[in-house]
Amino acid sequence: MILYTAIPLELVVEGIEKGHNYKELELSGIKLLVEPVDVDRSRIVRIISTNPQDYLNPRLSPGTIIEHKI
Amino acid sequence: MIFSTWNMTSSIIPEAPKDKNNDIPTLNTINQLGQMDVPNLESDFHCLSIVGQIEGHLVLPPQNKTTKYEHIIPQLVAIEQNPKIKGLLVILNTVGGDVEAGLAIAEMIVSMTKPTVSLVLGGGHSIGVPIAVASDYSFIAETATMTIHPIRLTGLVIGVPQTYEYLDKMQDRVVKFVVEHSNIDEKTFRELMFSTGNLARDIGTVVVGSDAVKYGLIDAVGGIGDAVKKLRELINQKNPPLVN
Repeated sequence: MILYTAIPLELVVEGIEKGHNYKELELSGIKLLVEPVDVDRSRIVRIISTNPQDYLNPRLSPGTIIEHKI
Repeated sequence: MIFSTWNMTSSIIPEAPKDKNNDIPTLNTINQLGQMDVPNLESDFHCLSIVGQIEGHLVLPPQNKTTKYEHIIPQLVAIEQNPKIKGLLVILNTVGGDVEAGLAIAEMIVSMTKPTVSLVLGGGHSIGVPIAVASDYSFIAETATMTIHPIRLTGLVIGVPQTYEYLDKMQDRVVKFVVEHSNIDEKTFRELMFSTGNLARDIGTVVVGSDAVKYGLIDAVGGIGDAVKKLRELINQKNPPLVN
């Protein structure tokens, strides 16, 4: 892949070695990739769905914090 | 594994994050937006904002603000398919990003049958240029800038032979797309791309608002008012309002 950006490359890729702690979970039949931020809260990273309308649902947009019971 | 035993708070999808104030909508609005009430007007067009880095095949570290292409693409599918949505407004303030992801978004916008208008605010640099020209009509704010520079000098190539020819080919894809979908000719665009003395660390040109229009890259200088008006005009052209 090629990055074509006006920002210096070293700023863009700084810290790229640090891994991510992503988990998958299903919310009413829609699979989500989330990043836990707390024991009972997670931030949505991406939606894994074939229904395009799911991507327009503001409650599922990436960055949204969802709560769940432990 | 705690995740396998998660008991979701509700089975209904539009479940807002549980908040103590959630039962009082007004209080919630004040909390989140600092204002009393949000006007409840249903819009018949959608606004897609492309900000920060365009994230493609590589997940970028968290200090980058990114637009994820795997989300933008199904959103464009939904907008194209949904009969309630009549048009698309693309707002750009991007510093560039992945070439293939950017071109994918640009190709999606070009091939949409619904009217599309783009507005460059702040910046539409590098791979933001093809996205800006992909819509039916494009606007640029007077103070907004677009950086046009060759790919190879800041290019990061992973997993392919880093040959000059390869980068040249990638660059040709971008140049061809921009020339095909705007009024700029290839000679002028390449001249802008390879001019020296304008950028501190690179060759290329920073094109400001009215210059972008002068070169034919963008259709007009304008703001959100002009963009919405133009989109409304294109929508009305496509679906003439019924006259009784």
